[in-house]
Amino acid sequence: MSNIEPAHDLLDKVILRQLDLLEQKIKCELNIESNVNNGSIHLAKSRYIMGQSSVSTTKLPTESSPDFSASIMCKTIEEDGMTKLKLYQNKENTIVPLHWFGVLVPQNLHMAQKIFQTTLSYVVECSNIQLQLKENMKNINALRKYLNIISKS
Amino acid sequence: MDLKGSLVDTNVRIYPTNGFLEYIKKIKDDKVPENILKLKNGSDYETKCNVKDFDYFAKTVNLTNEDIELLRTIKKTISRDSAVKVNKTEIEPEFVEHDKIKTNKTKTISKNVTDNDEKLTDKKESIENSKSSNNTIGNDSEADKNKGTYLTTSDVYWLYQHLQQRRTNGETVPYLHELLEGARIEMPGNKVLKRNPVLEARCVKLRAQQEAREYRKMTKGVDNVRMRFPEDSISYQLKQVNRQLIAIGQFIISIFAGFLFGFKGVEWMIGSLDFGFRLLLGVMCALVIALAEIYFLAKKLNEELNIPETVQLGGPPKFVDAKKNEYLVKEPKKSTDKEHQE
Repeated sequence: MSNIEPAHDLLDKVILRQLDLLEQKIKCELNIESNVNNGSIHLAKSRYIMGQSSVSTTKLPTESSPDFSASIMCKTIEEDGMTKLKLYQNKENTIVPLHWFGVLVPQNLHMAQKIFQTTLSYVVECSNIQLQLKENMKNINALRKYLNIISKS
Repeated sequence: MDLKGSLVDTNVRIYPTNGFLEYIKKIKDDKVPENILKLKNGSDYETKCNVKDFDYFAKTVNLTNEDIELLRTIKKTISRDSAVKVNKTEIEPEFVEHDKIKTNKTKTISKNVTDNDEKLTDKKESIENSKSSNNTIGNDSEADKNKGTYLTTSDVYWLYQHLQQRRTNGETVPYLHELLEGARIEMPGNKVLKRNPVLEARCVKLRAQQEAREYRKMTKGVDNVRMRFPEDSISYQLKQVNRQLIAIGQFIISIFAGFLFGFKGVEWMIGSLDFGFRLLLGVMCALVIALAEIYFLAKKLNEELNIPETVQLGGPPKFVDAKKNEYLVKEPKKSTDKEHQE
């Protein structure tokens, strides 16, 4: 069959891509880590400024508090034949989470919120890479099977 | 108490197999990346070549449209093929020789399953293992021999381009995936940060002081000597009264200033005004200021006067004993040998 050459070449490419994706994922996870660290430091600083009791878990909504929906949501989309996750802003029935801790909150709390929001996009990016990794793994398996069949027949 | 540091080196490490190594040793080229040279000439080989020389290699290989098309057709043929095979096995199960294959669906290309396929699953497992935990212990002993020499992805890219070049020149060279077969892929590990013993000792001291303070607070009610102190002393009472008087005085002064502003200041700014209007203005200003001020006053009066204890606090003796405490380092005695005294 004339397909053998390109198939071999394609398998090479797919494996290279797998390696590349692996590295991308590690980098992405590192990004997440550093972002979460940064955000936590800002959170700690605002806790230091406002006092221990004003920024703590006791201020978070409990089960009895009124319902609200998340302000940033995630949806799956199809792009280039691949399933991807994407973030989008939700406008309905949302709340401002900073108001849990008071109306006049320090700047650090705002910064922490921003940082955690960017972290969210990194998380989505990471899961996208994970999806691609899985897809790629399937491709590798399919190609291997194909080459096997050809070499036997 | 050791912390895990974050990753510094994000490169995946690829430990090649023997066949791969032998092939690498055969490469005759001047411009070779450092890691490949190391593999070629032993791990302690030092290179003088500049790493920057290899920056011009494309670091990504993109799938073209034709590639994607090909992939799709291949997948189709595979699915058709396996469907046919599955049908066969269902009709004539006695022809299936390998029992393993029947149970494991991932290996279902029925009779065509060879060693190759098992290698594939091996590799997949190794990839997945290394994903889940950073310390995969390679099952192949050959890789352990070459510890310290590994390839990074850029080397593999280089190799790919190198192979392609040779292939276009008409040479018969093995494919990259054949070379990579069975190679072990490892994730870079985290560095473990040891805690500084000085910091540890300081933490122990602070913790001991904190606990001693809490203990003193707790036992205040049952200690005859300290029971009346300091709340019953005259200085404490006077201070308390003073504080509250000052707070109230401030409150009154600011209200009065507000009233004056409305009563006089506006008149000075604009010109002569009616007396009744001035009075109204003054009262309005005073009211607004009073509202704001009441908040601060309430806050201030709510606070309790806190006189720090003058006694130097030390930890209870249990903290001095190093053997009982897991956090303790060699000599915490210096910091905590003072017991609380009355």
